[in-house]
Order: sequence, then C-alpha cells, then structure tokens
Amino acid sequence: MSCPVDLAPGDRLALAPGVVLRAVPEWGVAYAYTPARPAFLELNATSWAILALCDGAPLAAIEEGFAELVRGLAGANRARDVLARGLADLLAHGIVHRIDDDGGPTP
Amino acid sequence: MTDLSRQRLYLRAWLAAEGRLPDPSVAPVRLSVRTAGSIPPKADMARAGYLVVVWTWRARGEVTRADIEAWEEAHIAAIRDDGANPEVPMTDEAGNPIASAEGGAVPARRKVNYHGTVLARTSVFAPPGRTLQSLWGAWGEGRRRLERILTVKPEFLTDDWERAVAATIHAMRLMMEGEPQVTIIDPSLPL
Repeated sequence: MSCPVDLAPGDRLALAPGVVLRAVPEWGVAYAYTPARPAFLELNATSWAILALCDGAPLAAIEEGFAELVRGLAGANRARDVLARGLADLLAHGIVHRIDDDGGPTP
Repeated sequence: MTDLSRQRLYLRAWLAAEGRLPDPSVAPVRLSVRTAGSIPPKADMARAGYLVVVWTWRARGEVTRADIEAWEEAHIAAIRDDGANPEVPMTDEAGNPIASAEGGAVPARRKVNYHGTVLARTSVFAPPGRTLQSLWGAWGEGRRRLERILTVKPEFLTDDWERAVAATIHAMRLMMEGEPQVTIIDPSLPL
C-alpha cells in the first residue's frame, strides 16, 4: 500500500502506551489523550474505525479488516487511500505505534 | 463477542448509516466555555472600560423556562431597540479597536450589553454558564437560581441607567422569589 509513512505489510500496530481513549458512540467520535506529547484529540468515525483495527495486528491484516469494514461504502482504491492517510495521522499524533514481536515498541 | 468486535460492528453500522466514507480526521479539541451569550474576555472588558453587572435571583416555583425565554426576548428587544444604545465596535478608552480572541470584532453596545441569563453558579449541578435549556431538565430540576449578566459603561451606571429596559426589569421582578442580589464587577481589578 502507498502509505505516507514507511510501513511494511508485516509491521504491527497498536494503541500507544499511556494513551487514554474514550469513545462517544452517540456522536460517532472518540477522544484520545496522548500523555507522551500532551494533547486532547478528537477522532472521527473513520479514524476511530482504523484505530479499532490496530490491536497489534500486522498492516496486511489491518488493510484487510478495513476493506471489509468499509465494503459497499468505498472502492478498493479509496479504502486504501483513506487507510493510509488515517494511519499516518494516528502515527503522527502518537496514538498508535509500531510494535515488535514481543509487544514492545519498535526502535 | 469481544468489546473490540462489537466496536467494529458499531462503527461499520455508523459509517453505513452515513452512506459514505468520510476522510479520516484527528483534530485537537479546543476547550472553551460556552455561555448563553458572548461575553468578551475579562482583559478586553477592562480595556474597554466596561463594568459587569450580575443579577442573581431565584425564580418563582410556577415560572417555566418558556416564561423566562419570553421575558428574555422582550429584554433583548428593549436593549436592541433603544436608539441611545446602538451597536458599536468595541474600542479601548483611547478609541483603538478591540478584536476578540474568537477572531472577529467583539459586538458591543454603547451603554448596555446583555450577555444572557444562565443558571447561577452557586449550584453544584450548574457549572458556570450552563444555559436555561437544562433548567427544568433532569439535572436542573428545582435549581432555580439564575444570573442575568450585563455589561455597562460606568458613565451610564446612574440611578436611571436601566430606564430603557425598566419594563422588562419589572417583568423579571414578577418572576422572582424574594429580592435579587446585584453584583457589580470591575474587570480591571485583579481577582
């Protein structure tokens, strides 16, 4: 996938340590607090859906899961593009991070 | 089913209901206090030489939110329609314009500005500025202390400075239980 950040299909992504996530389902948003770089952020439903797939799964599985989640709403190209931008945003804000096989952060 | 699966199903349903896939968005949350009206920042009011007048009063038991809103509409109209109280750009005492932190010019009237009537901040169920909308709702039941907030130019703070709105003040008194408490705050003084 063409991702604004350098990710390989085997890279695994998960919620970054210490990030507090609070979903507000009625509004279709989630709020994230990132203590490492103190910020209070609002994720729309799309970003929240991408984050929900980042449970330590490899990028290839996240891509597959997202395509399944948005099937019927967006074509494959659009889904890939949205996922790439969404992951770049989540990584840039420190909401998700790459993990190694032991579950720790990738150096 | 795990919480995560449930969450994904919910999000799929939410996006399906939207009928489209919105662009992803991660945006900083801007925290701000909202009140029933726009109250300029304290520093701006001090520069403009305004005083803040707060009427705190307790509504009679039979008064409804609709009664207060009807009074408020008349009150706003009386202030708006007073020919001697036109809307003017907010300036400091040297005449320099004051722009609000929100980015636009702060609306101001020459003599008196009305900033809203909100739940008084004495109640634990009434965070400062909570609007009347919740007054008779589940959280506001029975908590009837209100604050009417005005700002005035001190030169108009005379015995008859509220003459232009006397009729609506009288109407407000009819909705009151007991006497109102009137507090005058000078924003130029430190807290």
